[in-house]
Amino acid sequence: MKKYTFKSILVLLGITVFLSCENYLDENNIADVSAGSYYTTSQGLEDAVKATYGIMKEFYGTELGFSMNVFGTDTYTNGADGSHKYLNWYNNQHNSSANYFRDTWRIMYRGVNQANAVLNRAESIEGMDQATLTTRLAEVRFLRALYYFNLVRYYGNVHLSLEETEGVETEANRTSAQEVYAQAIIPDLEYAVSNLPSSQSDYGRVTKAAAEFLLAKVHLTAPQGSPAQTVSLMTNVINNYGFSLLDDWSDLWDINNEENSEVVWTVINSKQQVDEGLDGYGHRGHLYFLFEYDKRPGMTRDTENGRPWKRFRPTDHLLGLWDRTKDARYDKGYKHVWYANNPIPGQQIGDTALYIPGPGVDRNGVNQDAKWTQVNKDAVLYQVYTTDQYNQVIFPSLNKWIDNTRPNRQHTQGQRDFILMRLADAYLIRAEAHLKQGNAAQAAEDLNVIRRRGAWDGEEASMEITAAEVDIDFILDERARELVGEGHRWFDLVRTNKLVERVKAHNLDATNNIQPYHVLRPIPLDQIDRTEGGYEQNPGYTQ
Amino acid sequence: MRKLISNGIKMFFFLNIVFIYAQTSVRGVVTDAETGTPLPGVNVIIQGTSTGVSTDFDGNYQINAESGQTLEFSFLGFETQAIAVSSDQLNVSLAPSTNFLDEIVVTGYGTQTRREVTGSIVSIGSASIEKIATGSGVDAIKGQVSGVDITSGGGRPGQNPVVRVRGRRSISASNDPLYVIDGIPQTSSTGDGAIFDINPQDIESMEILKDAAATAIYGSRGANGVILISTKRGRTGATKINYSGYYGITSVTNIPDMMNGEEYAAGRREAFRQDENSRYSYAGTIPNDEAVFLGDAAQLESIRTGRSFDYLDAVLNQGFQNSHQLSANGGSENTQYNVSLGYFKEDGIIDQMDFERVTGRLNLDHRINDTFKFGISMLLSNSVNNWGSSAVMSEALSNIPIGKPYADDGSINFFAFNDGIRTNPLSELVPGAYVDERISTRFFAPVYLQINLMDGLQFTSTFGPDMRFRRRGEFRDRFTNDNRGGPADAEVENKKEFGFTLENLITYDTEIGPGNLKVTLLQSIQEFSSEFSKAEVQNLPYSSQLWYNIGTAEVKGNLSSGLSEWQLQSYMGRLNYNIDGKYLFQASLRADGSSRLAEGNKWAYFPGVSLGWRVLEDFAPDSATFDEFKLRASYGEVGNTAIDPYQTQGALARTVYAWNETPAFGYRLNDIPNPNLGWEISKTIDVGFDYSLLDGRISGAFDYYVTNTTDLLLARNLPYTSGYTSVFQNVGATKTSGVEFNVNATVVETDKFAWDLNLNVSGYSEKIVELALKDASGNPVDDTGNNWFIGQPIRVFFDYTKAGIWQSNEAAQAAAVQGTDPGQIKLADINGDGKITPADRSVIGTDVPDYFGGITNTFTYGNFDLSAFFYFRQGHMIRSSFHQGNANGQFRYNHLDVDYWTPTNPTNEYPRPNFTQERPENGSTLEYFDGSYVKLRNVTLGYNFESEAASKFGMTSLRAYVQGQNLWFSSEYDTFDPEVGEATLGSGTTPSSKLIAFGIRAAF
Repeated sequence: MKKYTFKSILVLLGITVFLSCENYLDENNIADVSAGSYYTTSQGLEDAVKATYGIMKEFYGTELGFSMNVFGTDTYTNGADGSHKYLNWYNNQHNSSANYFRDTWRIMYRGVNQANAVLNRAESIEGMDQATLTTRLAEVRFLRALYYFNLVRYYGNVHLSLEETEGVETEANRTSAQEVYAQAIIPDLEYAVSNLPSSQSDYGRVTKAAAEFLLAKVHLTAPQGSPAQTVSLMTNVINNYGFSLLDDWSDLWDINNEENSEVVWTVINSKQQVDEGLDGYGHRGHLYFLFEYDKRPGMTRDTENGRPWKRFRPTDHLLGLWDRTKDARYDKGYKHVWYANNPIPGQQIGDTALYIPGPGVDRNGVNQDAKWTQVNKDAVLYQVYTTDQYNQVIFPSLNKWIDNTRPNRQHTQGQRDFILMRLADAYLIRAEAHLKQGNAAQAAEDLNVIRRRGAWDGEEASMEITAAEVDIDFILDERARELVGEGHRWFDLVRTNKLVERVKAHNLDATNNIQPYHVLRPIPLDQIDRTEGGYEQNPGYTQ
Repeated sequence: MRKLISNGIKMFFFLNIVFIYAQTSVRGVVTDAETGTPLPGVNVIIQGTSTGVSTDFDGNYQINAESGQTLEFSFLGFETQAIAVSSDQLNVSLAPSTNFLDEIVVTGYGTQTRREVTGSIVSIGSASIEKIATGSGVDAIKGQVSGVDITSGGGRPGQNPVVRVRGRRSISASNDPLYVIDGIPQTSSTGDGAIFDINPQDIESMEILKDAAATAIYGSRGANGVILISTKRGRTGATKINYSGYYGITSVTNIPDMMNGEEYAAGRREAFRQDENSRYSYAGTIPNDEAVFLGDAAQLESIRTGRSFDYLDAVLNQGFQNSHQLSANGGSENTQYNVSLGYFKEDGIIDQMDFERVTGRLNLDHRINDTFKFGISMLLSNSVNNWGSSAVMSEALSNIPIGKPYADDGSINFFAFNDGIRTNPLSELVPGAYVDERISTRFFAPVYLQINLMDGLQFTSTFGPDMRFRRRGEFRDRFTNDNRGGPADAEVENKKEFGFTLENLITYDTEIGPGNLKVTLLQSIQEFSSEFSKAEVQNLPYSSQLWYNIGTAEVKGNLSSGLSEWQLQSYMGRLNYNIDGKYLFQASLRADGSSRLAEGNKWAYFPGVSLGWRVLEDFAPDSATFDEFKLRASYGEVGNTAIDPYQTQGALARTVYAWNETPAFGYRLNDIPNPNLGWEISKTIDVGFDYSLLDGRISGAFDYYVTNTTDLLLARNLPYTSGYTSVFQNVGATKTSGVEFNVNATVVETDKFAWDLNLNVSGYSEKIVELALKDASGNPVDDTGNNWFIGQPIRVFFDYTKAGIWQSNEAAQAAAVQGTDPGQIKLADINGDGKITPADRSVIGTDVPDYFGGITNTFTYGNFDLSAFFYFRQGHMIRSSFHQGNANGQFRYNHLDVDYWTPTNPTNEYPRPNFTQERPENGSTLEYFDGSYVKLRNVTLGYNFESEAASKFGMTSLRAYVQGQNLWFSSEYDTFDPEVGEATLGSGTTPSSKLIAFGIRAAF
């Protein structure tokens, strides 16, 4: 019996000891990978590069990205809804605690650190051919430049690091914007221009043209920038890669024509990824510019007409910019008629339910506000909204981002690519550089290229302007007419030193609040709180 | 009393003594008077001598004694008996002791009598658990244990309560206690519902280990207290069949007061006040109804006809609870069993929400011979929980009363008014429209082998496998709030958890010097792995398939799967030494190694020491009034590694991108590798006393404790310029201190009438002592970004304070001080600088109560008994999101019935309605409330039939009772039941319910 007893104990102890051998407490993470092991392989490095692209999606095409640039300007003010109207109002909530300043800052630095990781780790990569590696590094340097370019444009002097963060980093520097251009943005883009191919087999990868485009813009923006460089780089973009303007401006917004000859570089959204929810971001521009059509007689919300979040409402100034008798771009960019999908008595599905004739004198020379007297409005079964009725829920609705291919009407992620660079902008930027060099005639020539394309058929000649008409205000107005809603406006106004003047003049919701210091966004409070020794706030902001 | 103690001590002394005297041989068998079971190990001595023996496994003894001498029979937990020797055959049956000092308390890796306990341990017996009608054992002890704060997270069937033993210590890691069921530390936490698999009717006792000396034997997992659950085991004797069951009806306790049609319409008109430029302004006028209600025919018709619909009334129904348990208990000398089958079903007060569980249990013990014994405690459990749609409540609160919920033909209008966001809550309740079915299947079966090596030396090996399979299927049809008329979608998730524990335990019990020594040695390993796979699809062609044919979906969505594993390796030793039963001493040391922590930091040691001094033994051994006064003091260190595995390695996160339509998924940096991650350590000093007087008529305990937690596992926020947001680190410290007191008293006791009173009160304070942020000189700094403040509890409310509403004649001041208009919330200028800035925010409250506890009165009169149990929690703050979502002044949706400001109603309660705001300026200041409450948790009236009456039904005993739960409560906050766990009160929260149940318990 005793023998039996001790035997069994030995067996039990043996099982336990066997199970708890030396490596028993080692952790083996099967499901996930870590940077230390994965980024050392060529596949891992490729995935780290793709991630540097992927981070852009957190900004471009989201409400954050649009809000930071669309309203709070002379062209757009706020609609009824949304929690970030402070960006438009420049009021006491426009401070360092505001989410969107924090989120923008965070996303850009996440991008910077990801790019730094790729660049730092590239040296120890094995099994990758040198040509591919050089191209990838050039792509990543371009992306790092883009992230830093956004940072200095929004925040001025910022933290500069070209090294991947390793371990817990609680310090941060404040490097002047000029130094950030000198040490990071310009050399990165020059490297990219020298090392990128003219075309890439993967649609959406950065090309030489994209790098030249961005560097051209940098030269127009940076204090040490050279307008001559801008002209020469943009001339390359315009002449050397086979880009061409589409004949019809409205073809740009055809959702089936996204990959067209005018696109220089876009942030890609894949229909499959946005529909299936793999991509939580997508292009959400279809949500924000629409008026509240869905609560109006005869209408209910559907996929065709979109999901109206009423974030951005055009200012009167914007609506007055187009000469609708010649310029087709208002009529092609804004929606006029909503057809009944929830008919009221007397209506059929498909009958006109709502009509926004738009501002001023139309293509046919009719002043719609004068035409639609109350008597005339009462005489039709549909609703007509004239300019005197515009408010935070009723306003002309920008058509550019409508996405009726979403799987259902509630789906927020749209499939459109976010166009960061298109050829028309190259002409407009070159025009601005010409003007800066005192060459109004060349500027007028570039502007006329754009204006002729934007004209109604037969009105091309009457759209042309002369050198005498060109000044910076004209260029800004032309940019508004051509690029409205595409997310450039706030940068354009700051670059040309016109933000405060124009917002005061044209944005009634901000006019009493905007101050000269608003040309920079506040440094987020979290950054200040979390940095060892604090972090200096931008001038004018109290905290 | 004293005799009993010293006999207990002597028992061990005599264990190895052989027969010395050659006199008349007396023999017999000693049995349990209550059950008839033979009692092994009973001490038999001849009074006045040091001669004695103990009974064998069959209760037999044999001793040489002279006629006329007296034999004394003593055994732990039984009354001692002295019988004069009159023949050579003397069978004795011992009655179980009624003295609470003799109660057996499970202490983890062993048991002690209440008398011997030196830690702060509370034991709750089956009687206290069985009497509450509930599906959860944890819920049943709510309010009954001092220092244990149990709050429910909402009224959904199957929803888990939040359990906090002596408050919180950790900011980022879990604050859930460790559950140990039949000796096996549970691998899944209560947060995952593992505790819901246990049928409360199967529980014999629950012991809550509170102080660190008691929990230190569980080392790395003892920091949040330990709850030991022992299930009922078989007893030798004839088979006993027991049945217990109840049926109860539930209904809602309290619902928010929402506006009716007329009130809503008035508020909406006010929200449309506009100036001549169509800008919404307090100084404007109200447009006509056509403009205010946006021409919506349904609303205008309601206003015309006076139609007003009460959605809360429409969605809240009667629910029921239904429980049945049948068990058989019995056994032979060598084999004992307890078999039970349980069924529990709860239908919520909202349709499509229910919880149904079937449990089967087999507890078996078998003795092979004097050396070997083995047994099993097997649980099989299957539950189906229909979680239901949270949109039912939130839509019922938000849909406006002047919509049109039903079409003219009586069918449901999916959109009851013209707004794309709000859908009709009644459509969520259409069977099959919204299904969220969670199935959990559990197999948990610890097996042990016990070997008696020699007297006093025992070896036990336990293997405890624990398997849990969970499946969650979700289906949302077209007409649900999720899809809003869009195509149906579905997802299905399968999760498998497998854990096992293997423990080897050696106990040795001997006399050394003046006292008794117990040694416990443990070696243990534990492993856990959890894997899941999940598929989400959209645009299903037909809805009857639910999630059972997702291949047919037009849009395939996310696919995900995961694996998480951890191991724990431990050694533990414990010494108990007690001298003359007066001076009690315990010391333990546990070493734990965890795979979750970084290399080099995996192992840590957790010591615990406790002392007890039974003062009366020294000063008043023969006191007639006082039975017991025991001073206790303890110190212990325990750990917490309740962080997810792999936190030290620095994982990458997937990013989404594409080259046109070619996927280009990437992996970005996400977590910083943290090779220094170690244990979070809590050190607790506890002093207290146990008391008992008047033969146990009054008894209880008092404890004071201080817990210092250091190396707090903290998600430390980083400056974003690093590219990261936070990192898990051992930084920071907290301090929790508190007092606990309880008294059990038999106030009145006569032949027919008795009144028992049980009261417990606890309170604690919680403080953050140190955080990651330091100023230039190294002093800790508040972390405002996380709402963590030095000297404040872990969870505080930090905000502006509302001082009133800016009135019409204060326009200039409102603009100057706060940059706002009349009708808006006026903030208090806390720092008095004449301006409202972020510096005017302050800590305005915490969710830590001043004190909490319970009071139970039980009255017995003849065969009747009546008990009433009140539960209270006082002095804490809650945040009400009803006042965020449903009192925002926008009047796009329905609104709490509040007193809002208008130019002609200069109230200071609520700000001016405004249709273009999603929330009022500084609206968060309206959301804070005193959360204090007193609840009548339970009231029971029972009748115990006389045994003759019971036997007419073929029963040996029968009890019938009627019980009410949550019948009454009183609170400052009147919008909803203020009991919310740690969550913020949400508008999607299912309201709590009250229950009236009828039940019987019968034995055959």
